[in-house]
Amino acid sequence: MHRRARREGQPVSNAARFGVSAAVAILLVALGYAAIATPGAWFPRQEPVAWSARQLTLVRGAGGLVGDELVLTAGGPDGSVLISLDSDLRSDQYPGIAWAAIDVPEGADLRLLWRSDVAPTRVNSARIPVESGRPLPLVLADNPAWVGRVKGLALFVGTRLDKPLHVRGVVAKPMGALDVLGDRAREWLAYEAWTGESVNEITGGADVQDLPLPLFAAAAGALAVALWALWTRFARRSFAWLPFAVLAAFAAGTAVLDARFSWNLARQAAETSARYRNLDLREKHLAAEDGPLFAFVEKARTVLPAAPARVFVAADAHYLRSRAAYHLYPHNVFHDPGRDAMPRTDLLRPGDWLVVYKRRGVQYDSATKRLRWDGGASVAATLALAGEGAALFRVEAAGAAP
Amino acid sequence: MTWFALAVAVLLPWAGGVTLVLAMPRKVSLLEQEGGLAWALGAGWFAGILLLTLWMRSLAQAGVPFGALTIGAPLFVAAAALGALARAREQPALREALTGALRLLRGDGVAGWRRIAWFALLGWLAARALLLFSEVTLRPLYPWEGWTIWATKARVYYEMGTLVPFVAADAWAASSGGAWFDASPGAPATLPLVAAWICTVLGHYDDVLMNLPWWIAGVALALALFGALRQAGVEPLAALAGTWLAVSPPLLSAHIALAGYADIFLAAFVTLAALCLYRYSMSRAPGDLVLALVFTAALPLVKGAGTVWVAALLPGFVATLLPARGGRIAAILFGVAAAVVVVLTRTSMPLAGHVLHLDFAPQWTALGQRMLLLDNWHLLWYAAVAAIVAGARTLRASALRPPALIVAGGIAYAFIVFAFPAARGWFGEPASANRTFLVVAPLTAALVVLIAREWAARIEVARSEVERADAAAAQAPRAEAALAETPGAGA
Repeated sequence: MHRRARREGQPVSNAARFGVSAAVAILLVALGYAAIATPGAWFPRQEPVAWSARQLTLVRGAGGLVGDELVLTAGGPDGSVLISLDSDLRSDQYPGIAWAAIDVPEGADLRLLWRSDVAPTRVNSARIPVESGRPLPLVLADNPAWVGRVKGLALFVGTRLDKPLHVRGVVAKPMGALDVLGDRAREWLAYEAWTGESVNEITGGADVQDLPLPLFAAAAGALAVALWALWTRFARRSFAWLPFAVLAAFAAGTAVLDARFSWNLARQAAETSARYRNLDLREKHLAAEDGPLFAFVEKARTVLPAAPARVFVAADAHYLRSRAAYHLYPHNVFHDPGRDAMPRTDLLRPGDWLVVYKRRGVQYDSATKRLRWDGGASVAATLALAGEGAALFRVEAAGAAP
Repeated sequence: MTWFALAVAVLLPWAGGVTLVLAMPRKVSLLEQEGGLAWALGAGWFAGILLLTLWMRSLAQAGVPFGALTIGAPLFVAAAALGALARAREQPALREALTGALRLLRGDGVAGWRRIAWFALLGWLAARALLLFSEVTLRPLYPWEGWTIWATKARVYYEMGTLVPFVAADAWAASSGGAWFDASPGAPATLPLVAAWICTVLGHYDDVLMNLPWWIAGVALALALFGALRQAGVEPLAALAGTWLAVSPPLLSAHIALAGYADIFLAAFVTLAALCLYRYSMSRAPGDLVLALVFTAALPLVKGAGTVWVAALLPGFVATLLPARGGRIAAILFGVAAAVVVVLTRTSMPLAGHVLHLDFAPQWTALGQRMLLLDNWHLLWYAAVAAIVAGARTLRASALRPPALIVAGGIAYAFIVFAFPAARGWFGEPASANRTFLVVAPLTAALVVLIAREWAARIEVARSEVERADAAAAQAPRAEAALAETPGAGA
């Protein structure tokens, strides 16, 4: 009876068949990807070759060794930084180069430079993608200049540093299948903190991914269903379980993706909690990204009248301009949300206020009590409050004088 | 004290909304129906927001300043009155609905792997809600539009104790201080009023706790979806899984955690309107139709683009109200919309100082990345494509037609916004296509679950028929043999 029931397609046997199909599908998709993405041998004999920060030479720029890191504080005269090292690698055995560095400027022009014994006088370069302030591993197998023995490597940073850049070393990788799959797993599990873009887009791990996890899950799920169907057909069993197979594949894929996101969210919640827990509202604002701006506006509010006054806001940065305005409400705030513009002088009235925050081109003559910006006409105004790169003015007279 | 005030600020409109949903005209008690309680709680939050803000608008119109009492007391009275109205029909079923909900939560009636899956899903959803709650109640207002468009108004309404006008730059310059300005002066006042109400009860402007309604919106949306799926006859575990599918996409979580945008409310109102229509097409209870109209009418009050979403809902209404000819009329509406778009790509019509012209400039790679490769939606859009392919015949079923047409209308609108960048500006849509698709995503998830349910049922029916036919075929020779053996049969 039991054997007969199993032959007719009991859920248990279907579930077991599907489980095996799913495991095989995951393996096949991973192997298929590895077959496409592994640049050289799958299981290379060579070990990775690593250089620590102590073995690096700072050719251009300012900085020095701090512990195990080369800390770069400024670029050379042209703003760029160059770090080099001597190497002796067979390019065909080491198709991957991974620099270990943090705090790379956003959108930085980061390049790997190298020389080979094929053309010793020629310096070759390849752009290194950057994600969350870290350089991503670079695969050079298809680069025609990655030939012969590589006799020297260098890291070029073509962007001015806005904060110290920490370089921990570099590794030449044989890029076997396990290296490739490991890199993908690291991309999937990379921490993705909230940013201003998070309400528009969630990448699901690293910003740049060679094989996004949703695609992997969808491919493995579809293949699992196909394998189950094939098995079912060969075993001459009922296809009535097909909807469950499809739903199981979909649910499993979604569960994996949602587990990854939940883990990321838990890390984010811990970070948020560490930053804001046990703080009152004011302290939270001071601890936020725009804490210094909030502190200045808080002082400005004590100078401004209690009743809503007309307040113009100016700042170079869109974020600071809009954020300063937000902190100033319910005052009758005006700023240009679209561009960095000072108020038109014909709009100013006596009793109006002007908040200037990190805005170049604004000059105040305390002797004559005249305020001028962008080389234009001046306005009669009183400096009511001054802060670091910030000021609050009260307009004393309408219109401008040359 | 703060948390008590916050609880009052949240529970008052919520109670008003729940009683409003319960008081809607229908012959059969809502609480008697499967999922009725969850539906009432979920839809009630959004109905409550409408009640609250409509009352605040009335106060402002009458020149009565906002205050905890001037707003709260009438809300309480309204909730009590609506509760009294619903009492005769709903009270007998209330106790059973509550004990039923408790039994459901305890997993009574499910065993084996289903029981494990039930508690796993419940735990998973609870953990997500907890993490999001922590984010919402700790972080000061974070996302860009939150503090350039919405909270600007919330703060002024709260501090001034009334609705004040927000006007464009020129009008502001010409005004004598009685009008305010921000990055989007025309944005509707509903969400700022909700935040202003929270601050009014708290007694100070608090741009952390005033974001709690966004978290509740997520919870309420989940409750409403679960209730609607249960009412549609979906098994509890499948309904819970469907709810998880609808609320788990990371982009939705981002809009809850980084509270302050209107999109999640717009998504909730579109979803509720569509589900009300779906309920109405099955129950023909006038209350469901009224609620569908209320939630649809609320769309322009939530976000500027809400007006266009009303148009996207139109085919769903037509299919519901005119079941016989609805499909044809909806097809004509889609055709007319497509024709208008084509005409606009071929012409340049001047209108009120603007030139109406559309250029076809889709960015397919970016769209594919956002919908299928990045983790904005998990596998939702893969599932949607599979559901359309597998359930094409199912979609012809009259009950599923309205939500399906609304999803189609929403996706068509999102496509227009995506493929014709100029349309984005006209409709006040964001540059990110994801946020436009977010509006229709929870409803799409619910539709996927309903189609999957129908699909599975069809296959089950087909299997039963095949088995019956096989059994009959197996019986036939035996019957013939028996007949042959019957004395005199061969004569």
